Amino acid sequence: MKITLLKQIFFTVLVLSGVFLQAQTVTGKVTSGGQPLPGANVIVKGTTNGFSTDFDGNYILENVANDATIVVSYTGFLTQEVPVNGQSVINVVLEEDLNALDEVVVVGYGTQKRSEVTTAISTVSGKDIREIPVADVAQTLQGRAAGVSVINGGSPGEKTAVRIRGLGTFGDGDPLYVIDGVFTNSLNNIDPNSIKKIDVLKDAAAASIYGSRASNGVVIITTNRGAIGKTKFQVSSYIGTQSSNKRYDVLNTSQYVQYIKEINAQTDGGGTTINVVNDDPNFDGNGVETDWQDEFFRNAGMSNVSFNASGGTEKSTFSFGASTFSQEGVYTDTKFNRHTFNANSQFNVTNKFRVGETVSLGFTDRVAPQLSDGREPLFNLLASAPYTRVRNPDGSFSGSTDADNNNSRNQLRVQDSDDNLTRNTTIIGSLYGEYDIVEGLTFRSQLGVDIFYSQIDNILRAYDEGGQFSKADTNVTKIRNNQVQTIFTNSLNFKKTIAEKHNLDITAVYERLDLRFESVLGASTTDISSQIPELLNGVSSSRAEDEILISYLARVNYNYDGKYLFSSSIRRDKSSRFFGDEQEGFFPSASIGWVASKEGFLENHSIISNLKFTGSIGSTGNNKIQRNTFAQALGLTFNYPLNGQLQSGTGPTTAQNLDLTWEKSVKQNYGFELGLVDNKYTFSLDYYNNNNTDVLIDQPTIPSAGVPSGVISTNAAEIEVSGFDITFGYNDWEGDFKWNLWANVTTSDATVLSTGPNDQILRARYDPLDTNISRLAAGEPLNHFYGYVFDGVYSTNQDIIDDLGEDNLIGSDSNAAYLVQQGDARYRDINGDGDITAEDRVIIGDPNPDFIYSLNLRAEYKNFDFSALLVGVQGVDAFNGNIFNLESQENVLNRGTQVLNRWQQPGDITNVPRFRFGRNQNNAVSTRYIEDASYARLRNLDVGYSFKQDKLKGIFNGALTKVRFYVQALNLFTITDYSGLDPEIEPYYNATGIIEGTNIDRGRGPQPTTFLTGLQIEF
Amino acid sequence: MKKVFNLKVFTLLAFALCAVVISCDDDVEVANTNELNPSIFFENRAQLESASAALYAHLQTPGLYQRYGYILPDTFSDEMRPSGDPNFLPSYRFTLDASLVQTSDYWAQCYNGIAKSNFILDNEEKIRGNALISTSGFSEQDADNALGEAYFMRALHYWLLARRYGGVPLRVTQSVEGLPRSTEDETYALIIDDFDKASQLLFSKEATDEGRATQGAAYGMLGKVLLFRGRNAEAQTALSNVTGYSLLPEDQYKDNFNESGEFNDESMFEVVFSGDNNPSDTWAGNGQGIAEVTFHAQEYSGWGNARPSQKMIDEFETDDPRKAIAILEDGDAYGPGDAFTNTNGTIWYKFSQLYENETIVPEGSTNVRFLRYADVVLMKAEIEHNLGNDPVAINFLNELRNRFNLPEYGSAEMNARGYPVNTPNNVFKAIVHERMVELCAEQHRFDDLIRWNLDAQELEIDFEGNPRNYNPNVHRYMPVPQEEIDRNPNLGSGEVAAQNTGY
Repeated sequence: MKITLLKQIFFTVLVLSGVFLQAQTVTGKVTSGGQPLPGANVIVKGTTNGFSTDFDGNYILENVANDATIVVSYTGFLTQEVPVNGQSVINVVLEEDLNALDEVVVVGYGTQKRSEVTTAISTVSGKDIREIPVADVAQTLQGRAAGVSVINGGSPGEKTAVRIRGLGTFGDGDPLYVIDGVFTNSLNNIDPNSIKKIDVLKDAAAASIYGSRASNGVVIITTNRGAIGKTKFQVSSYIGTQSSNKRYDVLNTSQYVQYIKEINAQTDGGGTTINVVNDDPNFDGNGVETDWQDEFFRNAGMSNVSFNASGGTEKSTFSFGASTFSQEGVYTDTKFNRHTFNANSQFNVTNKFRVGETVSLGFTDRVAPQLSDGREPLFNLLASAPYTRVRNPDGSFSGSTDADNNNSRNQLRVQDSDDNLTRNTTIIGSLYGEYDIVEGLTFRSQLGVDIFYSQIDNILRAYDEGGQFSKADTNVTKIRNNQVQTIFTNSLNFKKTIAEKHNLDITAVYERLDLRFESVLGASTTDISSQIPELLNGVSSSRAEDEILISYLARVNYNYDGKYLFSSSIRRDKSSRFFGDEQEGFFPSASIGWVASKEGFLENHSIISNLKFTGSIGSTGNNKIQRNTFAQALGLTFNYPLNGQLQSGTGPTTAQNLDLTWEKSVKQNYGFELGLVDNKYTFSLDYYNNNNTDVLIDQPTIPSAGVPSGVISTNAAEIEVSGFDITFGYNDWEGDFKWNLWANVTTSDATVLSTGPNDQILRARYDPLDTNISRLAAGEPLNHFYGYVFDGVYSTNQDIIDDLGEDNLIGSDSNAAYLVQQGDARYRDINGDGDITAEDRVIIGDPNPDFIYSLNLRAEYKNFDFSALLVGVQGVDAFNGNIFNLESQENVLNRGTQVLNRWQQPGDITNVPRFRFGRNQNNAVSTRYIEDASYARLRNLDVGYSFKQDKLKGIFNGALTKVRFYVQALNLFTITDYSGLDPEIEPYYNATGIIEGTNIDRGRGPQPTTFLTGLQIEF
Repeated sequence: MKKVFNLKVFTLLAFALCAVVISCDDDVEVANTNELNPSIFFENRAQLESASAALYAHLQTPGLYQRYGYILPDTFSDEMRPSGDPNFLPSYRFTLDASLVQTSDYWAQCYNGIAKSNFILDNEEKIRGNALISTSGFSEQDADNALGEAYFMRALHYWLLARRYGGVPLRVTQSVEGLPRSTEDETYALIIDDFDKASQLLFSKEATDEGRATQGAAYGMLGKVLLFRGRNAEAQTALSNVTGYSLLPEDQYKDNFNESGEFNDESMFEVVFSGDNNPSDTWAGNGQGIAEVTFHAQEYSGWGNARPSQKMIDEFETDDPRKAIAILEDGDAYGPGDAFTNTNGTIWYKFSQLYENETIVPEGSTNVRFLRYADVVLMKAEIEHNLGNDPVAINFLNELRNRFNLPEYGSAEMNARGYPVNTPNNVFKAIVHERMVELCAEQHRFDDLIRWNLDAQELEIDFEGNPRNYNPNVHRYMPVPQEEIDRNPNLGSGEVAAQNTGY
């Protein structure tokens, strides 16, 4: 038998040689509808011999065997195979793929045709992603997918908050990110240019395939793959500048000195003086006029270069790329840099067996805005005296003196002496093999890794501002975090069409995830030198955490003739985050669809080209809780002196909580999509309802349980989120002037149904006001603001007597909770008991928008292309903490010019209370801080020019296939009534990484306006 | 050949698939190697001693003997004359309500302490098992002692609760569920049972660390609780087991109230303070960290928030040397060698730091003398009286008078002073008098008055002669904390209502 086989091979080689001898050159033109198709792939089947058509659709293939077959392919068109049969000219007319809109959707552990999808999945193309020049891939989702809300951070490298169909948890609301089948959180370390597309799984029927981690939605990122054909090189680069020109209007030197003089003279509730002003009646600031905001803000540079090469043969395809990105912050000294490398390839070992790999390496470093003693930079910038210099004439930093009595730090000094540098190294990659066991049955095995290494260096150097503030010690803190996650995925997929109309697609998967996180922290303090950024005789600590998740899942997709669609899946997860029976959970889902436009009565309808109805229901989980929380922790510090010595005492600090489990969500989605006039007009509407139960909430323990921590996390709360995703598209991509637009509107109504046994939970502490800002209560919007209704300022004492009675006047010697005098804040006595108490607080704002929307516009005219993206948020309240910085008047820090209009004498009618020294009730949480933060923002505007193919022919022997220049502006304008620097308020993460309250403006940096020019070359 | 290759691959893959799906173990258990947890505890002597040290830590919190543990019983009594300080006034005026920190903190810290006992008792099997392993470094006797300490401290915390709130939820194993209130009888039954067990298990004081519970203390407390429950014969037996303690001689009497004399022969159980202080721990007051301080001296004698009442001063016989050791009046000499003169008005000298210092610091380190032998002698007297053995009772009373060479009860001089002991009622009056002067400012008086049913009579008027509005049907107990009522839905589901009468 072996001999026979050898003979056969020998014979084949002989025959092939003969064929080669008869090879010839084949030329031709590829067209469609009479128009040439540039960039189409033409290859000789079974060889590496291939060509991309030029601008006129022409190709030349040399050495083509007589009996060879050429394969012509082009995205959006049906691939054609043409036997050569000795012809030397073969013109090919490609038919447009009628399912051109029928992109392939990544549904997790498989793909599906868009037309057959019965669940809520939004897809964002690589083109859309590349268009927005930002660091974080997540930012590029803004406005691109219905149901996806994105809140950007202002400073470079800041984490972006992505919310899919609203927030349904009190904890971590981030979606699950999956890159080429690998779970990761290192989005900031990915080059957006390396991404082919992003699919967002929104409803349970789509997301439940990811089980206990899918409640917040799933974002599936697919990176670039090579395609069969000639190797393509792409280089793109841009360079630009960012600026933020909005400033708060604070007192200048003469205003501030005058203000201080008036405060010093004030007898009722003054109580503080600035000696430097008081001791010298002629003090005028010595001619110094420092605009601290201008000193700190800067025009910041930004640039990127990305390179990609891709190509392939029938045997193998590849794509590899590299990029370097650099962004400065508009806050002095802040920056984010990234270098990436990625490579994907696939080898067809046999026609049934394929192996491949994906690798993405990322290196980033980031310098974030530096807080000083917990104060945001803006706090210091607004509060610093304008007569204080940034630097002394000798170049050293200046600062507030004791005589100034202004405790603001010199923020430029802070930024200079204190460093925080975070460097992340990530590897996201996979190795896989696929084998077609029999036709339609494929086994796939993939080993994925997600490796994350983070180096955080924090150095607080010794300094001397020459006045009030100095520090003798240098503190060095170093944190080294290392996380290695491996994901071993094995799947069997069976696809078969029975009797031409029954389409069946069955998937079964086993997956095991192993994760280990290790962290080492070292810290040292020395007064010997501030020059050494290393740990000298430091102290250190470390911890390590493991996690295992073992899953089985199965999915069946069935459709009859593409008309009646059905899909169902179930996943079983077993997670080490929980104990005993709670480790295991099942997450089923089912969805159906009806493509009405394929029915006889609508087929070939003159207007309706697509009409599809879908409905789905399913269950998901959210397991994002701290590891090891179910176990009872022992504390070692219940100290007690025994035999005259302090002895360490050990006892439980937390309660064992073996019932702890994941949050559960039952999600429903009902929708339809409509295409009119050959899908020129498209419209879709989805209604969704997510019922989240077992929502984790910290609950005070019963005192008689004797738990020192006093809290226990329990699955006690319930949240319901419901709303609509609506999209509208218009497509006129024909003729000289082509254009299309796409718009979406999303509503999301998040209501807390239950907070467990608690009536309410107040959280999101805001230090300047010394209190919590956000509230959770049954039947009310998630994270609403809760406080007093501010009704202006008491003009006279008589107003107070009329309003509340004499017992509320300062000095009345009463037991009233609220003691005020003329010039103080007037809060509404909601319960009418003649006093202002905690009972008078009401809901004063809802940080959840009524709706968010976006408008995408794209057009081409001859060589010019144009695109614009408008994003907006409507009907949303924000707590503007800057109002405290500008108006609080509890001490002699500099304030906004509003204070010139403060109450000064009886009869004054104003909304700015008097100066009142010390923490006082004028600055209680009230409507005074609540503003409408609705906005519409031109997120992106770019105009490009591509050189004509014939112009390029003369350069580099015609190697160039595309040269495009463009100019671009990000955040060109923002329409808003919000008085803060930016109505898109950077989320604030607490110590455990949770966003406790939304839309609380703590004075974080704004998003800059960016102007860029860029160049894209392909060859 | 191609076919062979395919077959190989197929076999390989099939094998891999089987290996993956079938042989893969489904166990996701991971170890938590960062924190100490119960599964790796009680394995050596250091761990056992550390767990039992924690039993006492909650006594040092503001809810107990850093503050309210002495303020509450003292201000309820007629020994004190408080200032207007909000820590003192509501309890003195009997206007405590369920939301005040006085009642909630006291309750919570008792239960935090109980949880420490239950942590040890729940692990009894493991502790006893490890005691048999030589490498554990602790013996079966050590295990007994640690369990004894846990029983003792559980009983002690329930005793603190029962006297202030009546019947309370009885948590005898670690859990977080809300339990109903048990009856007062059930509560005391547990206390008696636990003290009884402790007395069987604990070391005597010579064999253990200074500060830990001892066998003598357990018998003393057992006798005390039995006396309160009217079980005099059993109390008599329990107290007869108290050995190895004695009354200090007169010249050492102040060692019962100062710092240098701590753990003397008369002292049976103390709440230990060392003055060590981490400011952030002090006020947090959850038993964790370094907060080994009491504010007693600062509050009572420094700031004068609780001064001796005139009734208290008048109770002393004029020649009783105990008065000068308990109370300082203006012009009185104090300090080492009586070197200083008091100008701070009438203040408590007991536990004031002033025996050894000129001034008072907030970081008080003077131990609370929770149980002293003088109390045992007085209890013995009362028990004998209750059992009808008045002559024996009088002998016990005279033990206390003899150390100061004060006239004995039964003597003509004592009769002349108005303390005859010719009738049982007079013997009882002598006991009342002797307890008041001997044990003043040691948190006994209020509970004594209730035991004797004299509370309504003695607490009728305040130090200025105005009504104190004391209602024995209400004010013998404090309100149950509102937090407990709000969070524990089962609290009132038993025989006892969630809240006490009148609140």
